[in-house]
Amino acid sequence: MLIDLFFILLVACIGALVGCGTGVVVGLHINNLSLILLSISGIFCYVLAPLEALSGVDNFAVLLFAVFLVSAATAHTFVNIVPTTFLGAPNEDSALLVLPSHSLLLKGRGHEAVWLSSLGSLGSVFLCFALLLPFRFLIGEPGNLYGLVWEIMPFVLIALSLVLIGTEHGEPFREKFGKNSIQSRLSGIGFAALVFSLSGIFGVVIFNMQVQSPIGLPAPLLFPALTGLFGSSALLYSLRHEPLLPEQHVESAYEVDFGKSLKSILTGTLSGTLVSILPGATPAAGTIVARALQRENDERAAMISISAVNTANSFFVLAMLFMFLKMRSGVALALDKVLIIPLWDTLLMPPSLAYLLIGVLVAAVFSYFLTCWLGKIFAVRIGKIAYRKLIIGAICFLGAMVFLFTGPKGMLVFLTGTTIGLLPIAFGVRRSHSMGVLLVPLILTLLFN
Amino acid sequence: MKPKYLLIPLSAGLIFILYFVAGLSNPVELNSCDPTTIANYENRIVRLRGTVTESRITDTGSQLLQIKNREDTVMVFLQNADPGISEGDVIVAKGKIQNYRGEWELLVATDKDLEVKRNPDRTISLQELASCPARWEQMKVKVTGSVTNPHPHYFYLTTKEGTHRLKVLAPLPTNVVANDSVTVEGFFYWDKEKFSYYLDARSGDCSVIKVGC
Repeated sequence: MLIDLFFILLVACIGALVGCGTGVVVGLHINNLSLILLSISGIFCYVLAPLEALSGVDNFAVLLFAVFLVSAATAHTFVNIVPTTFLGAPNEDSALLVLPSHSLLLKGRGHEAVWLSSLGSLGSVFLCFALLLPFRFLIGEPGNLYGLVWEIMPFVLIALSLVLIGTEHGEPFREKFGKNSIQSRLSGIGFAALVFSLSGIFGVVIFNMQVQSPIGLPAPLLFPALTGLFGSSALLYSLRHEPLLPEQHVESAYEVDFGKSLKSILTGTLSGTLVSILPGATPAAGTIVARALQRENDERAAMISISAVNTANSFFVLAMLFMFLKMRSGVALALDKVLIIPLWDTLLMPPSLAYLLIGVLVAAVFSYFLTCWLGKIFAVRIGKIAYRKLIIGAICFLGAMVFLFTGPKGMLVFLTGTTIGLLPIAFGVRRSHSMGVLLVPLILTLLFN
Repeated sequence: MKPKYLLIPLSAGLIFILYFVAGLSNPVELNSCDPTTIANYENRIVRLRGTVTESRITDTGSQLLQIKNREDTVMVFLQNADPGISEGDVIVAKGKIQNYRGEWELLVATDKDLEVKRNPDRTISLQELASCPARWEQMKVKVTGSVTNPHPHYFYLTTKEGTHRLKVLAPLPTNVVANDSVTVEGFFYWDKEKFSYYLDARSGDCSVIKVGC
């Protein structure tokens, strides 16, 4: 009925607005957002209960809440590029975005970074719709590739790690061995292996560590780890070297190479889809796969690709919920608590999934424009603030968020992550080697459990 | 030495400190399965102890146990089923507390997070022994059944329905005859030559006791 569609579209827009608001909050991960929204589900459904009389859909109020949740989650994946770019403050899934976005920010192209990320996320949503049915038939019946993906994933990740280390071009000891000499190149690879190993050991040590928020918030340990490795380390280094933040250029749109952009969206979407299948594999692991498929110095392609990973992951986690009744994220867990999830084992998708996907589409389009607008606001205002003060403020803010979410033990993790994160910056090797913090525990879990 | 080289030992030192701190932050052991207590630990890793009162293996190969601690019960979900866990066993499980469809449960990820203390005085049935014989191999078990085919140095233990039969190496006590119910305590072994399991109750610490005596 049209009236059902009207309310679904309305709720999707409201959800997108809420998600855009929460996306700029540093440290607020989508999983935490889902828990917070779940806690208000009762009030939400109570307020919307009168709409059930107008609708032809069973449990319409509950369905509307589910649409609201999914829309907020989708919008959140769009907007969290803004604090990542302008404050160097990523969440665990956008850690690798800090590197290219910060680089663009220092060239006066911060708004462009936000625009590229939004483009990647929006493009990914459209591509995900196109891939949904093939995914359903390949991963589920009759393709049944679910088990195969599970089996080959650890070896793919091991190969990826070796390729990342082996292709290191940095030469930390070029003064001693001579630039471009074999010893200099090998020392770069060796140092990359050291960073990977240290961050990998760090990841294993904190894997089962328990932390507690002093104010009862959800306590994700990856937040201080990744914030230290990729956020505060870069900010501290910037502080020491005091770069001048150039004036930020703001355009309504930017030129892109259609073919390259499409390739970036495709690699990002496929990477995000792959990790949505595996339990324990966060979108951050997908960003590593996507990043490995991009050229190191192609920041624009990296922005599009990595953003596509996060959005594709949140899309296909929804599909996994209906295809296998498996919950791969906080959003899926929250949906399972409020909605009865029918198994999608036929050609036609369940109506509830269709309504949720409407919410995703509406939120994606809405968020694309809102993210670009927010990026413009930040880009214009950031130039009016002394960059040194901004960095100090950002570091203090990150520290405060780490403490509030994870307490004193989280601060220790944050400090350790920051120290390890400074290593590749100080020695001139790729910072993505610090992703050993995720890769090593994930590989070990997939191989031995 | 340039200051940047200090980052290497500093990183290693901090990881070392973190290792000890992580070791100190062992999961909380809950003394009760009371729902109010459990609810306070939602999404946290805890350790729970209890006696298994129900066990069910699901179609997907996982296992649901109901454990009791004092007066309260809670469900424990094992990702990988352990058919050797039976009612009466005491388990200590480490996992995350979650609420699944209105019920609190402990989600145990791997079998390393589970410690099973089998009840040594618990008597098991032949069916239970047959469901996973490898689990009991070379262990001392206490099994009940009916006596059939008595011989001077061995006899067979069967279920009432006659579905399972186990050879017991031991002479029958004088007060036991065919079709009597007995409890046999002995060592469960695999006979490679005869391709079958048997119960050896010949040693001094084993016994064959008529049920009801």
